[in-house]
Amino acid sequence: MSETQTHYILHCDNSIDGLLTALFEAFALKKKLTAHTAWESLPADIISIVCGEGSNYSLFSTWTEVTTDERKALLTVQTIQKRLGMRIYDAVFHVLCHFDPSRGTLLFHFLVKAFQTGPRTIDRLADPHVMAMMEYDRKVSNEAHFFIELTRFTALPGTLYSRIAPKCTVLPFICDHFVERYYHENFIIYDETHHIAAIHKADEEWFLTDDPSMDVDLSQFQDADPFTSLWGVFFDSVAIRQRRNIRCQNTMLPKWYRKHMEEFSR
Amino acid sequence: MEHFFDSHTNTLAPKQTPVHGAVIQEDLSVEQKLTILSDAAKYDVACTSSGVARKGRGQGMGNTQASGICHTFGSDGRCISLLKILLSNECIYDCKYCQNRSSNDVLRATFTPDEVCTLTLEFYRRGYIEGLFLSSGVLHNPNYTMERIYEVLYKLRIVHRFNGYIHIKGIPGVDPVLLEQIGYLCDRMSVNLELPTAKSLSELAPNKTRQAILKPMKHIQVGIHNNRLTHGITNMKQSMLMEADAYDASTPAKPILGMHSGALTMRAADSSLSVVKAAKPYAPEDVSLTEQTETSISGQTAYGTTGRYFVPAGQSTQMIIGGSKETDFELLSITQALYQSFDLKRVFFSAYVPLNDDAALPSLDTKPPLLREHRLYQADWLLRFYGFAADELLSESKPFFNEQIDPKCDWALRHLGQFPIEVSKAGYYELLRIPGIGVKSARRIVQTRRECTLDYQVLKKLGVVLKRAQYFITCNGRMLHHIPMNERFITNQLIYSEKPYLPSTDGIQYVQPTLFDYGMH
Repeated sequence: MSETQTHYILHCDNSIDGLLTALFEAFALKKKLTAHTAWESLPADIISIVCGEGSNYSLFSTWTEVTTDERKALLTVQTIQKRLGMRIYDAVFHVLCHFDPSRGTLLFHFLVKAFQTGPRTIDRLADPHVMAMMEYDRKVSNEAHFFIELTRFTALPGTLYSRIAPKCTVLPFICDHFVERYYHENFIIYDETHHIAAIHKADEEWFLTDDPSMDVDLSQFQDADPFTSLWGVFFDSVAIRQRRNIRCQNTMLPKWYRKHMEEFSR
Repeated sequence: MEHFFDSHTNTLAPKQTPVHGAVIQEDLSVEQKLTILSDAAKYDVACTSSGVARKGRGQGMGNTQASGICHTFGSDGRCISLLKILLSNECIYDCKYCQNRSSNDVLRATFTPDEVCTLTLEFYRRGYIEGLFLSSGVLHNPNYTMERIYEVLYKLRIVHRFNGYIHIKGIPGVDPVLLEQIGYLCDRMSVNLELPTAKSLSELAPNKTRQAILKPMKHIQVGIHNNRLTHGITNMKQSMLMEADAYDASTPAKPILGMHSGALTMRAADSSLSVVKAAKPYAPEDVSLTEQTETSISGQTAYGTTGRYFVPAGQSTQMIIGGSKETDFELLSITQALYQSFDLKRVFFSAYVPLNDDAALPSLDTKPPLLREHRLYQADWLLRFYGFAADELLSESKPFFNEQIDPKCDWALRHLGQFPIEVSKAGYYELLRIPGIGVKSARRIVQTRRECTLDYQVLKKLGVVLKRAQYFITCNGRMLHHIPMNERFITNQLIYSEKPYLPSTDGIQYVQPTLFDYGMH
């Protein structure tokens, strides 16, 4: 190896806008690198995107900090929507909400392919990047569905309040469902993993906020609520003793989902 | 409130008739009632909330999703989706298998309609449930009981504007007029078949007759059919989409145009694998209601022509498995006949749990036949989504499923001549017949092979269960391993590589293996 090719690592914050900005920068960098060399002749892992804290510097690499830029993020979104269509954009958005710190790199590799081969790239499941996209997409959708099922509200005076602890960023996918359901109620869903909250004011639309005052300690309210204990009574008596099957219960409802479910935290 | 008119005796039903054998305790708290009445309702299996999508943002609270939503799973591993309760566990009937039979000495309780409404609404607000499942013991007579249920429904839907899911149990012997009123306010209705044949019904449920059970089922079916036609829909099984304000009397019906029938019928007609059968499906005689019902639900009354639908999520039923002596073949044939002649959405199976000591019943230490129930559900899926027919899976000469392998493997092993199937060329319905390939993986195979060639690594990633499928497929002309197409060899492989702990049911023949079994010619 006469000339060692340096690797480029783009580091961004752990937000959707941060990742979209990093994707924008990654494509700018790719354009620069391929001015004189074909992309295929460069090492496959020449550009990678990492996000969040705790990532390490590595040898022989150029580390670039990406500052989140809403304009660049919006441009990335528009380009994907226009050139690749909504089906790919939906998949990309789901993968952005996954928790894997290396999802940026996966998205970059997938998008490079997609821009070459068009909207039907997403059907090429034999390709490892497309397959990984499908798996991440499915993980996020499945987890979002779980939180549509399991999100529990505590009746505070005038407001329904819910705490959830998802692994993926599920709030953008579940709020429409709850707005439909409780349109005439005020409600707050607080995501304690990502420290964001969705707020819905009665008869209006919902929005996301990272206001720390949304983090409320619920223990005092839950003990006072008669319906919480009634729910526990119902939960116990509706199970058939002769069919007891804890393994099946654990398969259907993995334990980490149960953190804020009253019937399990008694 | 209204008086409850008993149409059988033409009298006003008396308010308090002590049911014989019942312990009636006054002033039970809501918590005690909930314990008693959910405990009494738990043997009803259908806790699904699927089949109807109703938009939210109505005047009240709630919406429904066509896929249904589970809210938690109980310690028996069953999904809890609805507040499953009885309105009352007082009952004039004496069905031998039932906990609430009139001859049993159990604590009796009855909810008031307001208690049911409060519990439903407050649980729903907190995200505990998807709606209400309301059944009841027979208080005084079927009509009186169903009137009480109607009262709850009316309060929930019209007074409280509750838009969540409601499943109502129909009680055999109820008047069709009452059935129609209830049908416009609930989402799903079910009448329990209880026992698979008329013979075992007369032995174990002396107060119920087959005709009395089938009649309301037929009424509901005709009502759904007529009401859907009124709305311009010809498909009887399609999930309905309802507007949020459907329960306002002033909401006009929206004709849905361009809907054509049979869009989702899953018949295997186009599959080369399907066995060509005589047109007459096997319909056990006692499921076909020969006598013409004298009154039927037109589905076109004042409510039927508003935005309301009659039983929009369709009807279901349930049968007890293992309480009587029917074979799997009989059960499955009856299930199929119910799907075909009653347009049912689901037939549920309930493994018999011994509750009463009675000479006519299995003894109290009988274990519920859970594995048998599981195999029947697997077969039920094969009927509904995979284009199988009951007489392909079982026959008079082989009336029981092999508990050690699933019904699809069992079928494939008896039809080895049709395998192996080439996955890169086979049609969708052919793929569905391969063990280890389900609806999702078949769909993904069809989607992927348009764009690129398949191999075993890709198939695995697409969700194909290779440990079952490997014996039945080729991919680009090759099998995964060199596998002798021998029924005995593959059966043993399937049993011992997957579930070696399952007890053997029909004594497996052990045979000295030869080198030829392993392809060493």
